[in-house]
Amino acid sequence: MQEITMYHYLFLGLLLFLIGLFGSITSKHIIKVLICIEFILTGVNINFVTFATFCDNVQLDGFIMALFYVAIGAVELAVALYIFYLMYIQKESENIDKYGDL
Amino acid sequence: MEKIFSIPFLVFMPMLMSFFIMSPFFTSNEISIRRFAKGVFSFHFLYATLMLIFFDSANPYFSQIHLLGGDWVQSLGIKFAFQIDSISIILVALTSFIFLLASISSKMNIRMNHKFYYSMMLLLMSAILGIFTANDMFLFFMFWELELIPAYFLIGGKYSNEVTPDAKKSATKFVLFTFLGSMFMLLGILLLHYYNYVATGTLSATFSDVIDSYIPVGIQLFIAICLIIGFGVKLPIVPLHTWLPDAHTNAPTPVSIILAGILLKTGAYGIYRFNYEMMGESFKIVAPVLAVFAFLNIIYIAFVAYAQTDIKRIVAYSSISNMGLILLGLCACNQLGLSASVFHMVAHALVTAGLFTICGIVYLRCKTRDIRVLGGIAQNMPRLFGFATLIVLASIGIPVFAPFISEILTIISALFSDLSIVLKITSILSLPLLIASSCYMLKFLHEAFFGEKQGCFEKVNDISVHEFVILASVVAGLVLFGLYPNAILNFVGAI
Amino acid sequence: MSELFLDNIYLILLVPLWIFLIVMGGRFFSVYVNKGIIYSLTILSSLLGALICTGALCKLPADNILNVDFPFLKINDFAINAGLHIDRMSLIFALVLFLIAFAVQIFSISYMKNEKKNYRFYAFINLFSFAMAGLFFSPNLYQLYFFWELIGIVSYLLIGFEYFKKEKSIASKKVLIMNRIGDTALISAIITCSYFMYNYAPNKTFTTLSFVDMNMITTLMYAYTSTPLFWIICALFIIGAAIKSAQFPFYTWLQDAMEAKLPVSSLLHSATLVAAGLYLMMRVLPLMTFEPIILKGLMSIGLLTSLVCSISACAQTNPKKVLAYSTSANFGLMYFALGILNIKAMFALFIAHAFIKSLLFITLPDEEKKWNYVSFVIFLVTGLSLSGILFSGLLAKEMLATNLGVYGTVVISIISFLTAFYIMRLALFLYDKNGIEKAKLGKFELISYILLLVFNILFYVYLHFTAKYQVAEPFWASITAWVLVYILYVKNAFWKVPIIYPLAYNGFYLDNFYTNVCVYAYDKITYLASLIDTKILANYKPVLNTIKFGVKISNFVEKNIMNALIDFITKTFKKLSIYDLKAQSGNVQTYNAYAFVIITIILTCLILSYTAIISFVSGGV
Repeated sequence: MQEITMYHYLFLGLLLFLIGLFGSITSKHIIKVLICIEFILTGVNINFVTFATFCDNVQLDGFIMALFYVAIGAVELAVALYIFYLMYIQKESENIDKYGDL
Repeated sequence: MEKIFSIPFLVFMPMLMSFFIMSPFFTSNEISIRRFAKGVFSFHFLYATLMLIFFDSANPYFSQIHLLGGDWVQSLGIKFAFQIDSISIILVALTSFIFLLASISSKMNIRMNHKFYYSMMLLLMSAILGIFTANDMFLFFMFWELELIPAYFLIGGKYSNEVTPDAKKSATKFVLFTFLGSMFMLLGILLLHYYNYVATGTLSATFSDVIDSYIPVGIQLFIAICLIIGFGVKLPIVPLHTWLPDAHTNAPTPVSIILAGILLKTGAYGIYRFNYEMMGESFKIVAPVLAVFAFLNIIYIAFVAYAQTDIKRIVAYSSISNMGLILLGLCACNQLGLSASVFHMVAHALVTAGLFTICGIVYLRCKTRDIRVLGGIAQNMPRLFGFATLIVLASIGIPVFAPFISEILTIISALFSDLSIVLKITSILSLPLLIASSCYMLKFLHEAFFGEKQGCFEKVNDISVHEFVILASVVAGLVLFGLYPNAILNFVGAI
Repeated sequence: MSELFLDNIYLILLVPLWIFLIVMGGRFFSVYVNKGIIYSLTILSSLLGALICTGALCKLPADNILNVDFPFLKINDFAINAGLHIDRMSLIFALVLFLIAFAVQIFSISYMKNEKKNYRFYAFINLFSFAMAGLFFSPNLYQLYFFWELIGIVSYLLIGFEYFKKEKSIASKKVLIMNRIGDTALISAIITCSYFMYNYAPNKTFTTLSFVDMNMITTLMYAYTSTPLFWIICALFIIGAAIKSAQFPFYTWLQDAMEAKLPVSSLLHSATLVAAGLYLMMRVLPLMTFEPIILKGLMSIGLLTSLVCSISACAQTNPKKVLAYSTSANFGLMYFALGILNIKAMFALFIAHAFIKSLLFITLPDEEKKWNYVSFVIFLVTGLSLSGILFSGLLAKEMLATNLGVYGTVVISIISFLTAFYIMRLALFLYDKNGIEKAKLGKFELISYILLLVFNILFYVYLHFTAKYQVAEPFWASITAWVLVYILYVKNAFWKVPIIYPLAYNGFYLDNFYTNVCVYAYDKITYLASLIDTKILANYKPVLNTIKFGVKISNFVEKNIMNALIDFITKTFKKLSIYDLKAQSGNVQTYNAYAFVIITIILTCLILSYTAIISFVSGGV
């Protein structure tokens, strides 16, 4: 069993980022797109925390950034869900192709 | 006295008057326009004559206009410079006089579009005066091109109710030909300007600053030939003369008077100024060839004139023939030749004015210009017949009148010139001009005036006061210069 | 007192000119001078001229010359002078002119009475007096040429006096053109002489070829020119004079000049205008004497003319034409006299012929009118004088015939025979054709006839006492001819000799030659020149075709090359735009994907060039 280095954590962050990216581009269901955006956010958070942990860091910037991102992500998701709710009343469908009005 | 003589006034006053007439402020009343125009022409003639009388050949008139404190195109040395020397003053006075005669003649011949006509006449006068007084090559070229516009409208415009289908075509031909020539002329001027700068280091287009002696000979010859082609379209040198019979025949009478009287002389003046004065050495090389063309002009055109059936065409061809004499005088490259040329310019302008007036009167009365139809009009118009005899005799070179002196003097000068044997041969060969010109001129006079009265001319009137004034002044001028040639020769000989 | 005539000699010129100017000038302003005034002024001017000439002749010593000239035309050192030159020769010529003008003008008062606008006639006659006197008093060859052309013009104006008749206009045109040919020859000779004087002579004043210096000038001319050129110059002078005096082969214009009225023929074309050639020859005679061949040429021209014209005169039916040929023939005799340098004979012939011929002309009857008895008698008497039997004609012919060789005497006798023959024949022909009436002659005609007859007799008396002569062969030849003609007339046997008669009747076909060959050739040449001018030089078709061809080429280029290029570019851009269209799907996710890819690329590039940016920033700062 080898050592778990920094790169494993970065790879995890990257994996989450790519899953989120792939999902947001290809999925047809809006909720799936929103969840995948959360995946992207999570992946970026893990990156930040990894760098904060492994690179000798006196000021702990990464942790603070992760904290901010969680908060902002929650708020942003709430707003997105609300917008989805308002548009769902009009459109009656979750298919993202029907949301191409703009 | 020199303070009140200003060359820009002389040149630009007609142009200003032309714009004034064309402007909407000016009345459209035919009589007012005519009287105003005649007033302008008379005043201008008076002014030019005063300039002539008070002219002192030791200090010729100079003038230079500075626009906004600088020259015209400062970086290229092009200035708005004017100058009148002995030859120019004679030609300027002649221009004024011929335009005055033409304006008197316009009364009977112009019936429509008076405003336009008189303004174009004034513009043409301004352009021609500019040609004669310009001291700068590019200014000369500007005026040379400027006279095309009014000339086109004057020849091709509609001024009477008769149908002249060829007028526009002749005017177009005239403009295109002159354009072609001035293309060459511009090339010559540009090359001259450039090579003068290369040779002397100063960038200037003024006539007195251009010295041609430092330019290599091949280039000099090329420039000279370009310039001669340009001027040769105007002073018709034989292959390039084909615009002239059509233009003169289809133009109204006063326009023909101006065209043959003055416009052709601008070509001769150009050759004198550019080739004879500025590029003297290359002119000495080109002169024998030019003399051969002058001979062709004189004799070949005299032959062509005999075969014509339209009286105005005969007179147009006689103009070409006489311009050939002027060219021969210039080619002789001596003082005699120059004096003879200038004298003949004056004499021929007067003779042509008279001849075209007579043709115009005949055409107005008899409605035809065909020599096969005309005949016997002397019985109804004895005064016209008297004047016609005098003027025709003048044009063939009869002693009391001026062309006699200039013809003899031209041939003497060509014979006396020590340039080349070609000139001597050409001068002797040009002597049959005396016979040839009398052949076609007498054919014109006899077929038109002598003989039995044709029925269609029963009710023609004799000449009116206006025409009498023109013809009488022409004859008076011819007799004056024929009996006192020193009046002009003194001016020219003082160079 | 002695200088009165010489001081006022310019009046001879100016008075006729003044009359011409007031008559013609007044006409243009519709001021018509009273006819009586015109007549009297004209006659008085001729009389004044004659008196002044006589007085001057008496007062002027033999070799004295009065010369006054001023530069008429002056350009640097080339000057042509004008002025007056009076010596015995010019005074003699002028005197003859004025005496004849006096008589003829008196005659023409009654002859021209019924013409309309005959003030023109008198004006032209006065102009003629001025021009002719100006010619005779010219100081140099240039002024001589000036008046030479002027008299040609006056002759033209007088011949075409009745301008409403077609044949007069044709005749005057022919006369003027023939005279112009002579003028051209003369001016070429003058200019050539002037050229040599200007360039080579020691004194530049010789350029104006003044008669005062004529001996010097001719010597220099002979020295400076090569022989062929000298011959050409002399030939040109002779041609000029010959055309003016209607010598062979130029005598045809005199026949056409007979279209003019009778006084014109009498004054101009018998005595004075044709004498201008003689005057010219007299003035340039020193030039002719250098080479004997020139004088021989002059002689032969004169003799040939005499023979040819005398033969032609024998066959004519128009009386004026007979007299015209007679004029040419007699002038031929004068040129012959000049050629053998018998100057006295030449003058005698000239003066005698002038009086005789003008009288012969004015005694001619009109067409279809009966011939007055007195005119007939005077015609016969003058005819006898012309043939050399009576009065001055006799002496003149005899002066000529002295000291000739055998051939000369024979030829002169033949010519005298022919002269007498045609004159007598003419008299009898007119006697038959018109008939005689014994009416009273008008007083003006009578006065003019008597004047001319008196001049004739006076000259005879003068010659009788000053010249030596002997009655010789010509006299007898003439008498024979008169007798022969009378016999032929009585027997009514005027036979038309086969070959000679057509030749003679048509003037040896010279007129036909000029009209049918020369004028026809000139017509064709001018037609050809006109064709060249309109079809070749004015042929704009090549230029137009070139322009059209150029337009065609540029059309082709534009259609096939430039348009194709533009089409190709358009198609590629269309294809590219399809891709672009596909990119605008409206789908946020695809936009997302693109954005991710592009931003990744940009960031990668930035990081990879991190070092370059660092160095740039540090370098820039």
